[in-house]
Amino acid sequence: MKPRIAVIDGGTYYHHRALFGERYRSYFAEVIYIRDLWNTPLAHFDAVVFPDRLHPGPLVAARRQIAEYLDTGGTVAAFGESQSHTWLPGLAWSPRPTNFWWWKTPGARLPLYAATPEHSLFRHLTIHEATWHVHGVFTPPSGTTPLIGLEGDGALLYEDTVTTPGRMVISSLDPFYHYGSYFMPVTERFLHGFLEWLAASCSGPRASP
Amino acid sequence: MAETLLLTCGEEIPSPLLTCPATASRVDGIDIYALAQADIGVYRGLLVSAHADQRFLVTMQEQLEQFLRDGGILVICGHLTYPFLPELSPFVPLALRSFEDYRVWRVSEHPVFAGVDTDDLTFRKGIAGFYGRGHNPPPTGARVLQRLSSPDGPPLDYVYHRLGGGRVLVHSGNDLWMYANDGISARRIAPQLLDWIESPALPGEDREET
Repeated sequence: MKPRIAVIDGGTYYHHRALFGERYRSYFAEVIYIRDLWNTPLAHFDAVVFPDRLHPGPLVAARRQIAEYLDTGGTVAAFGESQSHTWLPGLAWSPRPTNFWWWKTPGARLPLYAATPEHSLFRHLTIHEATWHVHGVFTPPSGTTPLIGLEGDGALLYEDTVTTPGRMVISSLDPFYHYGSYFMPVTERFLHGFLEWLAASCSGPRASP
Repeated sequence: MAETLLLTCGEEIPSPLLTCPATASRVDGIDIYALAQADIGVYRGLLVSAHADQRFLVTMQEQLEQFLRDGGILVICGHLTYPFLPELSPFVPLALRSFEDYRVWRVSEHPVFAGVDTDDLTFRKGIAGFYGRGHNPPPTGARVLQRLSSPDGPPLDYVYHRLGGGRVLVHSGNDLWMYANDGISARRIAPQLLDWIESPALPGEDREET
């Protein structure tokens, strides 16, 4: 059965293109406007996706509701530039200066790596498709699974099934903004792979409340 | 007192307008979701970022129109998706054939862009496309200031006098003030935008050239 994935809409132009546009709309059973989140029931969703660059204010206001959803075994996928450390538990966030022009230097590389290459995520995307730029890193708590790492530094994406009874997929990447702005084609491939993986990973039975 | 108000959008790193020495004391910032309770009538200029929740701004249309009727200047950046004034139209992305299509062309001089080299808009750190990737179609009577791709290309930036009062400046891309701390001529835009807002309109200024 197709998993029921909800996604939060920040009301910006880029969220509109990324969430309501034809490319990804079919992945989402429901698009929830950010200011409606506080009184929208989440329990029947297999996963809730929080795209990058959401205004954290309404998410902080909905913090208890998000925590209750995780407590009942829900899956939250939260992307970057939304101050997710202010509305999700157990996140250790460190911003980093963003060099968006690194690839203009001959021979330069952005040193990202697959921290757990055998993880099912990498059946759906490669590290190359996660490589555009860095806004910051998380320090994954002990017992969690780092997925995309920055060499000598923290994680750009990790999976946490220990902090709550649910599952948190935490990332500092901002693919929705870039795809929604018609900027950087690699982010389109990333989103495709990520959403394919998320849907596949939610196909098992969801923990009962 | 600052004469310009920026609607902030929950950014972790504050807008350069609020931190850059050339602009910080001239701009107040309030959270976009506090707009309904704010007394915006005390400001001459209101700045809407490309990161604004446009679905929310649609619900603020009456307040925005009153601000303009009172003679205010509204500056709108970003791709218009939910037009929050009735004369605005949704964004049209550029049909990209080559990177030359991202080139910015100035077609009418304006104090906001005085001394700004269009190459500094076309390229940022050597990368094309930061400034504009399409256009918000302008209403009748707008004065187009810059176009994309060619001197006859899509209208990227424009200004118009609103029927009933007020002026609107639209930039169909990233925030005009994002260059405030960059060491290039485009850094002039942010302070010049504030100069323009703070100055009385000259006769005929910002009207369509005939």
